[in-house]
Amino acid sequence: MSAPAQVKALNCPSCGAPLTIRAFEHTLSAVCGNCLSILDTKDPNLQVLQQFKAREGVQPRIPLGTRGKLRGDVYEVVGYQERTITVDDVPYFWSEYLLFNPYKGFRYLTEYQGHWNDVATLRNLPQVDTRGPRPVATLLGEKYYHFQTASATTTYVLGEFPWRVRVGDIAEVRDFVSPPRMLSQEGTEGETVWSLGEYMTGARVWEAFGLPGSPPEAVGVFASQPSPYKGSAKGVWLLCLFLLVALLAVAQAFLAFSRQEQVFRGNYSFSPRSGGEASFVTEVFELKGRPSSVEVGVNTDLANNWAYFRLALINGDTGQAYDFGREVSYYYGRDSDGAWTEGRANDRAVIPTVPAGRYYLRVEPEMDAGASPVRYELTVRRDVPYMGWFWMAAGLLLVPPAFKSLRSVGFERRRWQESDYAGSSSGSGDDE
Amino acid sequence: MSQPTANCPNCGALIQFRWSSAVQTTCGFCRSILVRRDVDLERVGVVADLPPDSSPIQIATEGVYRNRAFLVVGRILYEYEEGGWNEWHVVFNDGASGWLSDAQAEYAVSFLTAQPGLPAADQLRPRRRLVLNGVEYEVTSLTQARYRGVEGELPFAYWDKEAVLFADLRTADARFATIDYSESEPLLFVGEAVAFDELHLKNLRQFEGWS
Amino acid sequence: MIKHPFYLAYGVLVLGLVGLAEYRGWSLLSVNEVKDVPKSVRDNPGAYRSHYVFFPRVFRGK
Repeated sequence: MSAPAQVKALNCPSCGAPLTIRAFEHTLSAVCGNCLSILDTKDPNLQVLQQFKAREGVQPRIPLGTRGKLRGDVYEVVGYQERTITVDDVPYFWSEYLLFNPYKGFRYLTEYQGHWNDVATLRNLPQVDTRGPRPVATLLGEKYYHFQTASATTTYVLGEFPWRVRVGDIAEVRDFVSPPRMLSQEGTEGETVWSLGEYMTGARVWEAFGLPGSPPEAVGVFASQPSPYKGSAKGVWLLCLFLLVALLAVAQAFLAFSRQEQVFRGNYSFSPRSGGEASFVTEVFELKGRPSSVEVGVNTDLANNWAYFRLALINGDTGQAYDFGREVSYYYGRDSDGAWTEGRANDRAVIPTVPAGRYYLRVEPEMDAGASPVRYELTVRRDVPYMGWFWMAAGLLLVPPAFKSLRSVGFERRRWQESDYAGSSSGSGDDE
Repeated sequence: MSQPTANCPNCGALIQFRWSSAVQTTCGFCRSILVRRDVDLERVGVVADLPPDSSPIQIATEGVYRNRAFLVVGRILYEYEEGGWNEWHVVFNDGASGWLSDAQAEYAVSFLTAQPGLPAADQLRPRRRLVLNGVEYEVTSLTQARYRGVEGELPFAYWDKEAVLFADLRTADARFATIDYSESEPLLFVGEAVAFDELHLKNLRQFEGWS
Repeated sequence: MIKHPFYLAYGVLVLGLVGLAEYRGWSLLSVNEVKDVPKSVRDNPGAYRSHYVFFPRVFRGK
C-alpha cells in the first residue's frame, strides 16, 4: 500500500516565492507567478527552463486551485495558458485552463470572448475526409466540418503542466465543428492528438466552479455554439405544411358548401351624352340563409374607356343599405414592347355579412362627358367565399417558419464569419 | 486461485503470491527481485528505487473489465523523453494475465496476442495504417522508452530493459494496440482504451486533499 | 408537432379566424352602411343620397 500522495510546497529558486504543486508527480513544469520563471519540477534543483515576459496584470478568470464539478466529477484548476493565433495580421488569443482529478486525469476548459468549451483528449480516432470542398472529420458516426486551421503560439503560462511548457511553443491546430461539439487536431510532425470539446456557457462554468460575480459576456457566435434555432426549423416547416394543407381543406370545404347562388342578373347600358337621371334601381331579389357575403359583379364591354359605378344594395323591408363605389377601366394597345393591357373590363365586389331578406340594387353610373356608351351586365351572387382570406392566411402561416429560418441562417452566417470560410455559404447547410 | 507462498531467499520474509503463474516478484521487505525456478525463488537483483508517481492504481487494487474481475499484482514503470507511464500487471480469476496502462490517468487494457507477420519497426511511421486480425489501426506514436523500475508479480523473468521501442496504434472505435519491439520477435498487445469509471476500481491510492 | 406549441396554437387561430371570416361572409370592401333608406327611393332613385357624402370621383384618361 503506497502512502497517500502529497501536495508539494516549493520555493522558486529565482525569486524565493512559494509555489504549490497540485497535480502530484504528473507535473513536469511549473510557473512561478511572481517572476514568471518556468521551473523543471523533476529536477531536484528546480532548474529554470525559461523566464518570460508578459503584459501586466494577467489574471485567470478561474483562479488556480479552484475546484469545480464537471460531468459529475470534481476537478481542480492547476494550470492556465493563453494561446494566440494571427489571422490577417490580427492577433486573437484564447485561454486554456488545465483541470486535474487524480483518478480521472486531465481536462481542459477553453475560453474565447465569453464562450467556453469543456475539452478532453479523445480515445477514439476520427477519420478525416479531404476530398470534398472542405475537410470533414467523422467520429462515431457524427460529421464535423472543418472550421479553421491555424498556428497557435503559447503566449502566457501560469500554474503547472504535465509536459515541459514553454512560452513561444507553436502547434498547428485544426478545428472541426458539429455544434455543440468541436474536434480539434493538434500536433507536430510526429504525433497528433485529437480532443473533443463541448460548448459551455459562462453561466454554467460559474455555477460549476462556484465563482463570484458574473461570467464575461459572450461576444459574437462561437464556432461550436449551438444554434437556438437549429433542429426546430425542420419541424416548424413540417408543421407549416400541415397547416397549409389544413387551410386548403378549409378552402375546399367552403367552396363546396357555400351557396354561390346567382340571385340576380340584369343587362344595361349607359350613355353619358344623353341627359337625364343616370341612377336607377333593379328589381327585387331574395337573399337567403345566414348572414353571409354578397358578390356584386359588373361585366362591361369597355374598350380604352372607364366607368364609375356608385352601387347600393338596399333591403326593401328594413331600409338598410350597403353603399359602395367601383371603378372599372380597361385599356389596351401596342408599343415597342408588344401588346399591352391595363385594367379589366369585369369587376367583382364582395359585400360582407348581409342578413337574409329582400333586396334591390340602386345603380348610378358615371363616365367622361364625351365618352362612348358602355353596355354592362350586373350580377348578384349570394354566399360566395372570399378568396382574399385564404391568401392572407397562407401568408400568415408562412411568416413564423420563414422568420425562424431567416434568423437561423443569420446565426449560421455569423458563426462561419470567424472561420477560414468567411464569405462563402455556411458549412453544413442542413437544419438538423 | 491458489495462493502459493515461499520464503525470500535473502531475508526469509514470507512471500505470498497473488498469482499462481507469477514468474518474478519482489520482496516487500528487502526489495530483492526474485525469480521463480521450479519450487525455489532465486534472488537476481535489487529493485531500483521507484520514483514517486501519481497513478491512482496500486498493487492489490481490484477492478472489473468487461464483467471479469481482476487484481493488480505487479507493475512496470516506463520512462521516456516526455515523462513516464505505468503498465500495471493484472490477473483475472481464471489465471489470465493482462496489462492496464496508466499514462497521465488515461487508461487502456490490453492482452498479449499471438500475431505472426508483424511489420518491422522501421516500416512504421505515425499515421500509417495497419490491419491486424481484420481491424484497421492507425499508428499514433512511436516511443523509445526504458524500464525505470518494477514492482510485484510479473509474467516474465527480466526486470530491466534499457531500450524498448513501442508503436501505439488506435482505431476509430477506441481500440488500442501496442507493438513491443524489445524482443527478437515483436510482441503485440491488443485491447482498448477505457474510461476510469468503466473499471470500477477499488482499493485505490489516496491523494492528499482528495476523497 | 408538439414541439412547437406556440406555432400550432397560432396556426389553429389563423385557421379558426379564416373559418369564421368565411362563415360570416366578411370581406375587405369598404362599404358604407346607411340606415333607414326610404321606400320612395324605388320610385325616385335620383333622390337617394347617402348621408356621409364623400365619394371620390376619379378622373382617368390615357
